Amino acid sequence: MTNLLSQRRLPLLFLLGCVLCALACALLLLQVKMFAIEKDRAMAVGTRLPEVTSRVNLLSAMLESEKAYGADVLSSKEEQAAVYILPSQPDTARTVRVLQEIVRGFTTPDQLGIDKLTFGQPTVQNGRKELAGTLVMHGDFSWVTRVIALMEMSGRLSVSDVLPSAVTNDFLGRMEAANPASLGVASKFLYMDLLAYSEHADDAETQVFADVPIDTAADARTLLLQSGLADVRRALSPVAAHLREQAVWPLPLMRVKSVTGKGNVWTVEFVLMSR
Amino acid sequence: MNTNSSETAEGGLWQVHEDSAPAEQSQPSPVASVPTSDAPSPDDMHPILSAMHRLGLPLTIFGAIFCLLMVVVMVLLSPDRFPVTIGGDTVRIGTLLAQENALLTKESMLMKQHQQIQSVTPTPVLHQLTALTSVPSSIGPVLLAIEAARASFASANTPSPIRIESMTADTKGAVHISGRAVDSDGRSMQILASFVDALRSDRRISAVSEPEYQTLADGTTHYSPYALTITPAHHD
Repeated sequence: MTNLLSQRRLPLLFLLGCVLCALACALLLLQVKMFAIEKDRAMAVGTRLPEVTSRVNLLSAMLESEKAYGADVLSSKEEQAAVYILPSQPDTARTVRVLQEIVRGFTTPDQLGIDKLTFGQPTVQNGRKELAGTLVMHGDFSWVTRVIALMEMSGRLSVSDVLPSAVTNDFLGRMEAANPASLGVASKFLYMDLLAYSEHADDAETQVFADVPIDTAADARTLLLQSGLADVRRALSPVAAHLREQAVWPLPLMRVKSVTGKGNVWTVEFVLMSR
Repeated sequence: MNTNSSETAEGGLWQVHEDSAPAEQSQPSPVASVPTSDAPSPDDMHPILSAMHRLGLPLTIFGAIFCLLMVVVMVLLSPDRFPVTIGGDTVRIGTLLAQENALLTKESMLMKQHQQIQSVTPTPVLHQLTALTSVPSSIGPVLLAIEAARASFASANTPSPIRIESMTADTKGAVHISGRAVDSDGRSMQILASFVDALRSDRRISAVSEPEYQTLADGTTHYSPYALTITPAHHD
């Protein structure tokens, strides 16, 4: 103690005291800074959390639908696509039958009919075989429009295939925000077979929106209709039952290249695709 | 004059009495002092150095306690334990961060499950189909839009007054239609203008050219011929 209090050691004590005070101040500043950083981080997380929660809910609903869909249904769809939609070789015989049944399904032959259907030589584009075709029809513009729209709807199997991905995400987001419990039903609706939907469109939509508020249901329904389901109702619904009876669904994948009309005669240039 | 002496007069004789003045006591000898060292005393130093000497120990004690207090504060009062208010709810920061981590972990797990399901049933044809159908079609939706606008002028007993006499459409660009708007009452130009407006209001159509409005007569019927160029929405 005496040594400690000796005159020689007193300056060292003072310096030690200064160092300890500076260290304590540094710790205080560090603590304040840590608080500020953690608070900002918490605010950022708090802002992100609803979006992450929504994303997880959507993913969970999608997964639930995939599991319910089952591997068997997926295999069946794969087989349908491989045999009927995108076969290894262009199937002209089936295409002729499909187009004829489409035209017959809409109306009588004097109102709408096929005058001529021809196919060109197969070509290879991007590793796929394509077959150019020419369809000549007679009829009113209203019927021809539906036939062309149906040809362009070929290759689509479920409701979600008709809608852009941004629209399906928006739709699921609205359903999740309105009633998270309805997310499973909404997700299953998107996986619904397109022909089944077109045959019972009103019932399917009523079931989807059964557990959401009316204003949300109206907005979501408008979104879906404007994004492609209205065209499905207009083009596919009138002939859905006929196509199912004649076993010409799903349609082979076709792409319309051009349409020319003069008077009552319409010429449609299209391409029939295969793998 | 010795102040300690007193003089009295007795019988006419002055007698001087020497008071026994207490002997001046010498200052007590000082207690044995600390032997002085060679370093100068604080009183001899510069005032600042003197202050440093005096403050050394108290400052050290204060600094040590302050430091220890800060360590305790850092341990006990970590930010995780403090609440924040977000959207009207008050939650602890630690709870919030734990929630986010749990959600991200769950998302990662769900993605893995999704990939496992996809890998169990390979669907190469469906994948190829998805790629081919991902490109939106242009002709079909535009034709349906034209037909919808045209049909809006029809009624149960009256066909549409908008007649399409020729049309060309391809996937590269616009759709060209020509025909006539027919009306027996002579309002064919109004009908044509309304038809053009209906086309422009359809979200599948981005632009419609302005037709030349005129009224011609064909017997008792009046009609307005038109030629329109319609641009599909996604071709902008």
